[in-house]
Amino acid sequence: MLKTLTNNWTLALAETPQGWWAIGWRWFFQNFGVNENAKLTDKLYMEIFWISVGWFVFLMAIMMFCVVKYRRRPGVPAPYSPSHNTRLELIWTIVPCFFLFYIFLQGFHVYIDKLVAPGDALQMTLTAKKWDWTITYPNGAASPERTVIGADSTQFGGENGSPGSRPVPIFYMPGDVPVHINMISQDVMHSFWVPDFRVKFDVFPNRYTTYWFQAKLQGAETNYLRDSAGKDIVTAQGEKVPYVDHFIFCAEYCGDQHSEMLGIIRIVPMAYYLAKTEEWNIEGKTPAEIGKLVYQSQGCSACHTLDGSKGAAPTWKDLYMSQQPTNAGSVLADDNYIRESLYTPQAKIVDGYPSNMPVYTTAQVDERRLQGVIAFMKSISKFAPAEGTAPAAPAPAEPVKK
Amino acid sequence: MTTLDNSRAHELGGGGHGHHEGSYLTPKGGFFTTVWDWATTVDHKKIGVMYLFAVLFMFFLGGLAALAVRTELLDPVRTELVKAVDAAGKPLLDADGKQVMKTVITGQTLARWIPPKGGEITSIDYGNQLYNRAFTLHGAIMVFMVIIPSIPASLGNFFIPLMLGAKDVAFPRLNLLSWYIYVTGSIFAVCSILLGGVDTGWTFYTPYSTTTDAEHANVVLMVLGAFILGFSSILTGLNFVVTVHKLRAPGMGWFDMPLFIWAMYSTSIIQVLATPVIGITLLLLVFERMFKIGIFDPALGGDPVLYQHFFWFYSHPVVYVMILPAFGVISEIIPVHTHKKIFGYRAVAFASLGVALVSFLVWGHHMFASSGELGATVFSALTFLVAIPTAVKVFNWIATLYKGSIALTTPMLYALMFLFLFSIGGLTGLPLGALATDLHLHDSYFVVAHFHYVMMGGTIITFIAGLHHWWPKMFGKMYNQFWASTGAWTVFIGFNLTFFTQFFLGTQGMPRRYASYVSEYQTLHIWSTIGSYVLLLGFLIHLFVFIHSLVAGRKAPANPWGGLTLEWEAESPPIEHNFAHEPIVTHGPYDYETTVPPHWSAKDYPLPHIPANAHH
Repeated sequence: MLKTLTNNWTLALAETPQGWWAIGWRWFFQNFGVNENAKLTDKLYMEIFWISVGWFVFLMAIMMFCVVKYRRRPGVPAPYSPSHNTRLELIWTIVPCFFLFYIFLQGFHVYIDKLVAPGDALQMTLTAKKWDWTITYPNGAASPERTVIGADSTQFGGENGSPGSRPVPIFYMPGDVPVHINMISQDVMHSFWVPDFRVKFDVFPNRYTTYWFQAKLQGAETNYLRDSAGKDIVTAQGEKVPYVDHFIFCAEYCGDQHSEMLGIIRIVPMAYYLAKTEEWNIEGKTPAEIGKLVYQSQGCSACHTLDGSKGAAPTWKDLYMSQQPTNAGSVLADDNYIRESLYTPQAKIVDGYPSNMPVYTTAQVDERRLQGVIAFMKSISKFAPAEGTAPAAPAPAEPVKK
Repeated sequence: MTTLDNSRAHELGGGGHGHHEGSYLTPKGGFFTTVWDWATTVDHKKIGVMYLFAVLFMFFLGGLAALAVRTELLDPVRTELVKAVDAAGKPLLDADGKQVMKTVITGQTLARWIPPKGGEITSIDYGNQLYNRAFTLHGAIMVFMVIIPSIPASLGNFFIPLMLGAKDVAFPRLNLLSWYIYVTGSIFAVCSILLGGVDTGWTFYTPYSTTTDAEHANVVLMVLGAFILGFSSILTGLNFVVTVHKLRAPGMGWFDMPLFIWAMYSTSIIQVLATPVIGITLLLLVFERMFKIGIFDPALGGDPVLYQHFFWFYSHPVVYVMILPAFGVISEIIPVHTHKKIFGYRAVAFASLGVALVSFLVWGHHMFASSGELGATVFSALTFLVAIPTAVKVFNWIATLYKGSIALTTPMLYALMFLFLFSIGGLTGLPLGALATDLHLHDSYFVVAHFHYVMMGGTIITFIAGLHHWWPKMFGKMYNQFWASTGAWTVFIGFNLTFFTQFFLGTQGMPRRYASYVSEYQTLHIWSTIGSYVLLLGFLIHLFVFIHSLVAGRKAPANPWGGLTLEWEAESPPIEHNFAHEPIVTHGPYDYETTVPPHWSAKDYPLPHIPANAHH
């Protein structure tokens, strides 16, 4: 049951910091140098730590010395000593000011670096809701991949179900490239924290905040993506895919599953990132394919199964055009019912299930994606009416030669 | 058990003055007469004692919630797929003869102790909800009902008039009213707990606190409880300010006041000025929740960050309402148990006022991760400014030890532990005040550890130190020094084990208010939880020492430690009107080099030789 702290953290990137301040950095951090800003932050932290240790040991040494040397002896009065010394008091007021000023300046300097993204950063958007994250890539795609965080994993991802808890999203990000994320919340406040990047910013429901990072992939060459069977994933060029995972934690208390509101940022080579986001791009896909992507990327899979087994919500297998018993009577699960269930889910609840379907807005699932979901549900329902196919276009008439 | 002065002081002290009237603890008649007498008393000492027991009771409740939190965190929550079995324990097979699997949830201790209706735990939500309630109750109770009133309302009420040489506070009836307001507010909070509790966190951040649909009444009750408690703070603060201005004994100028009085004076000013802001804020929160007026909820056009500004404009100064009285207690204990004049009296006194002033200007450092860069920078700079007067105080206390006559009594032991713990608490504030490191550490366990070192290692430890310092005066009984010191060491070890581990959890990325965590953090969580059980053991030892003292303790002399401030001239316990005659101040509060403590003889307290060129 006991697990050491180091077993599956991002050791692949461990770079050893140099300098007097770096002594003991291992006590506080699992890795070093995921990016330049993280390095500077850790350096500042360790400098403050050693300055503090210096002051603390100095003060406690004087205290312990006095307690031993001047302990009470019966009948012996405390000898006279001045109870005021202007020069000493000025010194101990002014000297700490220099330390404080240095720490403030360093903190400000590295902070500005955390705020201001380079102009050539990739632009993405993040939406947070109770209790999930969605990142939309520049091409409009969203990641449908999820994993259960567990102990027996290649890095963080475990096998679905055991052990671990809820599946959390995996966001593929290109390595060694600045990424800039515009963040908004759909309900209460959340806070986007990637501990490895040493930055968090709050996510509000009423205004945008931003987050940027540039994560290294160099040094991760020993860590390759594998599929669920444990085999290395190989690109079309026959190359294995190096990757590094970083945890995302929600750092602003947001309710029941605040501690399950996790995610993984997976740093991969740019080519693989582009291939992945293109794979998830809805352009050029059939409605049913779009629907399947929505099913995977919007968290539907957490409750709705596709194989007929019972989840926390009705399975989608054979659901479309079936009769469902609800608290508002028997309902035909047609297009309009599906639409209603997405945008106003509390209207009718299928018997035997809790009413925990989240409300989606048209900004999250637009008309095209909703059509896709309906098409996808049609494709896996035996009640769906047979579809006609359009006759092949007639061959263009041969030009009549005169 | 013989400890230093006690035995000798016992022979000398006690019964020095004639007994014109009985101790304030002497019952006025039968049981009901006595209860009625206490319930309607305007005696600051009785009110102080009633506050003391109320605060200790709430500390017990808040402590239970803390233990629940720590116990839940022993094990992370996991869902595991296991083979289902039937009633006879045989594997359950489905129609095709395949093993049926079922999902079980492990690691939710609280949910096993308090099972849901129906008995079976089917989702992680139920256990998480219990955990979220436990940490909210812990925070709300400890802040609003324990730490804020602990030293001011109990020790302050009891000792401010005694140290000033007064018969009572300036407005005794108002004082009784404050106590009843405190009880009313606490009852609101306890009702909220009994109805199921709230899960908003003690900060009640919007829009979560105004929009979660569960337990509407509980949130309103809890917020109203905090609102009502605010009035108790305001009235007590007002009372103390007037008392300090108007009721000092003849001969006591401002700079002849004990430093505890200076600290309480600064505290009272903050309470009077800042508490109305939280009153308005909490009332707006109730209105927002009940009538949807749209100040904080963005869905109604409000701004959630506005709430944070309002909230911290009060709650940051209140951090100093919590710690300044502790500074005052330490400034008393160290000179008394060292028999040494405090080093740099004026610097310590003005540092109290300086901290009080700057404390109004640093609230924004709770919002580095949410506010704009200019505000964050200014607030970061101001935050470092507040470190200076605080550091000056620590230097002065340690300088006071130099060439002292240090007696390691329980209160002194606790005072030294305070210097140790508070230094850690203060220094770990530096990476939180620096913007770059704060963006990593904000809302992590590092913050949790930091403010426990300051609030608990500072205020609660000092509260217990003060309780041991003044216990003989309050109840007229001595306590067992050996067992009290054993309790102190147990608390010290338990405290450090519980909270030092949390600094490492924080830097490694463990967010606060998490019911579960990734398994990488488990080892440190286990150590932290073990520490909390050691802490419990330490407090239980103190409880038994105090009960033993009340039941079978030796009678306390009037001045067991050899203090020079006026409360040591009174009897132990003091008579109903404090002093038989109005005291006249003829020496400074810490003039140990020139004054034999009251009730002590010159034979037992030889004065040191003072060089001719010495200047005070």
